[in-house]
Amino acid sequence: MRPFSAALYGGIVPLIAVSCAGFLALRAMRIVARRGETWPLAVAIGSPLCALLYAVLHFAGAARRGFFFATAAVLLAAAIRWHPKRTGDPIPAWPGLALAFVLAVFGTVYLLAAAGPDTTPPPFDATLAQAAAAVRAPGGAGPPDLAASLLLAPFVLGGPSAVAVFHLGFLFALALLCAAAARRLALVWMPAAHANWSYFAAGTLVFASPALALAACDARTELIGILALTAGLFLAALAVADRKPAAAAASAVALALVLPAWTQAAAFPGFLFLPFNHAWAAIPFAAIAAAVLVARYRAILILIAAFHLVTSWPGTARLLSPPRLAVLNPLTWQDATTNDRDGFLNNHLPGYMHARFLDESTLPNSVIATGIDIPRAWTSRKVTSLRAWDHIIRTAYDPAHRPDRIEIRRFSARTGRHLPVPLRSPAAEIRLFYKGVEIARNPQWRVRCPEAFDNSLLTACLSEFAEIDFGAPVAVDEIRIQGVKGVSTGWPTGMRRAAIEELKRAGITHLLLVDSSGLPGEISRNARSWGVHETGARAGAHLYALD
Amino acid sequence: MRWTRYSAALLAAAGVYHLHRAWSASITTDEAFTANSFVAPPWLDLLTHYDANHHILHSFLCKLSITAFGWNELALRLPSLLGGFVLLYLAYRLAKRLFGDSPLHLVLCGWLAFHPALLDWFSIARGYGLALTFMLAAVHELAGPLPALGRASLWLGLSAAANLVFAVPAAALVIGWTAARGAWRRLPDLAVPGAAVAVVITIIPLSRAGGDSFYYGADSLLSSFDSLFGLPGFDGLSAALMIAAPAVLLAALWYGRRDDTLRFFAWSLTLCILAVAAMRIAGMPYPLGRTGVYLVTLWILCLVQLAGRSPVHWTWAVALAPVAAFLFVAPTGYYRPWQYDAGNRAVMERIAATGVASPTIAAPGTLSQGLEFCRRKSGYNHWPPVVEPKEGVQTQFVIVRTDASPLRTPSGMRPIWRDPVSGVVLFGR
Repeated sequence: MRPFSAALYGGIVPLIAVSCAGFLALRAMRIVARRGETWPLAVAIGSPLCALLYAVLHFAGAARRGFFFATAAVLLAAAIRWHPKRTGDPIPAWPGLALAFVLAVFGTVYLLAAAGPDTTPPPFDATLAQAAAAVRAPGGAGPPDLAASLLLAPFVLGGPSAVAVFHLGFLFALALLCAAAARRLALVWMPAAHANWSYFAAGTLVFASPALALAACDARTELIGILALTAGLFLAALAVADRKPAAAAASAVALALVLPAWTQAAAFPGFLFLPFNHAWAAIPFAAIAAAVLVARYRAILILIAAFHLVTSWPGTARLLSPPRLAVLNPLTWQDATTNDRDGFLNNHLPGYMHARFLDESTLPNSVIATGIDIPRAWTSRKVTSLRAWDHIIRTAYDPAHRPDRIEIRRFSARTGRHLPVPLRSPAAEIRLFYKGVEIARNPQWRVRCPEAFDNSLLTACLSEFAEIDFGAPVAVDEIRIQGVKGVSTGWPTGMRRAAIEELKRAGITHLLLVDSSGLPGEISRNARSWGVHETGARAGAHLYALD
Repeated sequence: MRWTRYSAALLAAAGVYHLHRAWSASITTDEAFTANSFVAPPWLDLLTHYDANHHILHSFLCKLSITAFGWNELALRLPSLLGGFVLLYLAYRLAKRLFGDSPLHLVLCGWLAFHPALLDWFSIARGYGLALTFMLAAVHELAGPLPALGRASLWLGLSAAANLVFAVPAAALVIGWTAARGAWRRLPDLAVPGAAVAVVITIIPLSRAGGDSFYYGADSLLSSFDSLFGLPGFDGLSAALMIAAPAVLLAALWYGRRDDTLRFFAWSLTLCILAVAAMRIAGMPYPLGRTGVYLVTLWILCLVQLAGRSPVHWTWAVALAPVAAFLFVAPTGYYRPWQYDAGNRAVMERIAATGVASPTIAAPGTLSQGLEFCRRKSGYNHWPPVVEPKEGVQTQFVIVRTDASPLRTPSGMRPIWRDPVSGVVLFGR
């Protein structure tokens, strides 16, 4: 229960700070919003301001719990003293109550998923990992970006789950902003009795959208970006309609955090928004449009809302949604409040066990190359992808990949500054000759496809064309290309160790390899040849230290 | 009230004809495919699978009907049959609204009730008839002086839900009506409720649709046109109708300038044709027979409304003449596109009569769905499934079609029975 409550206050306190910063900004800019619009706009405007503030605290070495609590307290006191003015009619009672009911029911499910053990999978945890790295090694990692800076406070106060709770707060703000925007828009075309129900419809459509909920319940940043986009455009529209430069400035501030709105992820956005399964940023606008359209037809509005709610409920969505699209995995109360979060994450977050294993088995400044997707927020070690080195490692041990043939091209002597070399297959090395004597390579040469001129048989030029610019005319009458074509030649010994040396040159200290790749068997059998030794194994993965 | 009585009698006869066909005709391949794939499985499968054959609202109604009345042809056809009855009633009401008690009342009722392109769909278990009924209900609403737009919109939504092909005429009727009346402010009233209803009913199965889910149609304009306006056995009349079809549309557009209703019909038909052209450009096939029934219906409405504007008082007689031809070509005992299926039920009865406990049957893929339906209907669930005839596959019975290719006797088998309507031959060892 303790981690659960830590996640709750760790997420809510920064949200209060963000809201208060936004209230103060609205007040300072003299922007008078209508009732129902103020808080969501405050969250949108306050987020970049707080992100900036947290970045400053980070650089000052003051990104600590006490400072974050103090900041929130000061902002809260200031916002109580200087709260922004509001105008317009109050939120209509019945639509407001209906929306509150939806928010309460769905919000409870979301809150459990957010405040429970955080299972944000790679690669969606990039911003969280950045924040985590900044917190763990304040001087070591590069400066966090604006979104990562915003996550510093919740991460410090309650860890990844607090970040998820904080992120969920943006879904509430987004739903309420869309509700208010729909109402404002509908009032232009229809009487208040109809327009008021668009408030309920828009809020419901956005809040229950499974794709938004899926992102909101994880320690991600998409909702921050989507709220920034929606609020930014809302304020821009206000600036144009009311000719308020201050609103334009506020719009610019809100849009500062718009980048995370663009995501490559695909998730089930609800059947009504199915075309937007890759473009979640469009969902709020589609919801506002739909809510305004159906607001005049009460029965249709109820039908649409009921359909969306029923089909977006996590259990139903799992049954009915297209299988290729991700949906939210709700947590039970027991799972959400479990004290054994480590055990839960071992079972539910792929790569978590390996992340913890790396922390336990390597020194703090280690660099580990692996093909496993490691949730990087859970390890303080630097993890890099093995994909870039896969070719070198395979070439080193697999006879099928060896460039152990030489293709010799002889021609009448040719003198020139440039020498193009068309390639029919990958070339590990290209050597030039004149009258049977090799032309020594010169550092002044400028080459296209340098992998073929680096004196390493492990790297290969995969292009169809290599070219040398000698800088001055050079005579050449023979080219020898070592690759997979031509006459057979010997394969030097010690290539395994040479491959490891390449990795070491790139700063890699360890390899984490899974059994399924087939590599651990080869490396364990020939550990001495490779120049590595196994330092441990866990959950089907072997850790090797480079000697 | 002379003409409306004649119409009522004609429509009643049409109703009896449909009832008789629904009761007596053997199951067809497409109906059986609907039944086997989209009625028999559990509700969740109905919601999470899609195919062009899955006429969503119609399939749901079929499932309810089959659940209530058991696995038989009439229960499967009940939603479509009831829709057909309602359509006949709506045709009567629409004709009365447009022409009062005049000969054109009879003309419109005759064309709508017996046009060969429409006739099969008022009793067969496919969504076309039901969708057409909803579409005509909307037309009936919209053709009146004080249309109830919400209700019309609802009918159009249900029409699209009963068969997705009808999303085209639904959109065309919405835009056609608002444009013809110049009532653009009322466009949301006509568009939104129906669209919402259609989306709610269809979106879940549709979420599983792919680009290859919409495959039925014609590759050439001529075959599309022929399937919609051709009259089997009346080549001269077919040619006349095919020439008259574009002429009628052009005339309707011209005379529609001074007639709100004619303008509504003509513009809607034009929009449908434009939509079909756009879909063709997007890579979809032309309407073929059933997938173009809405074009025929709108064309009939244009034709008869145009006849009503004619200064020549006997125009109605010319317009009524083809109805007689329609009556001549009306098939009995089978559905025109599936004559080869007419013997399914009889074939299964013959096989059962041989007394073989668990017979193995081979039949072409075009018959197997219908035979599977009949097997289940007769309670022969213990029989092995019908298989495709292949080299090396030995079965006790083989069913062969004779309508498409000359009869070839399977080796080692002898003919047991030949169905007189479909021409299929049952072979046994």
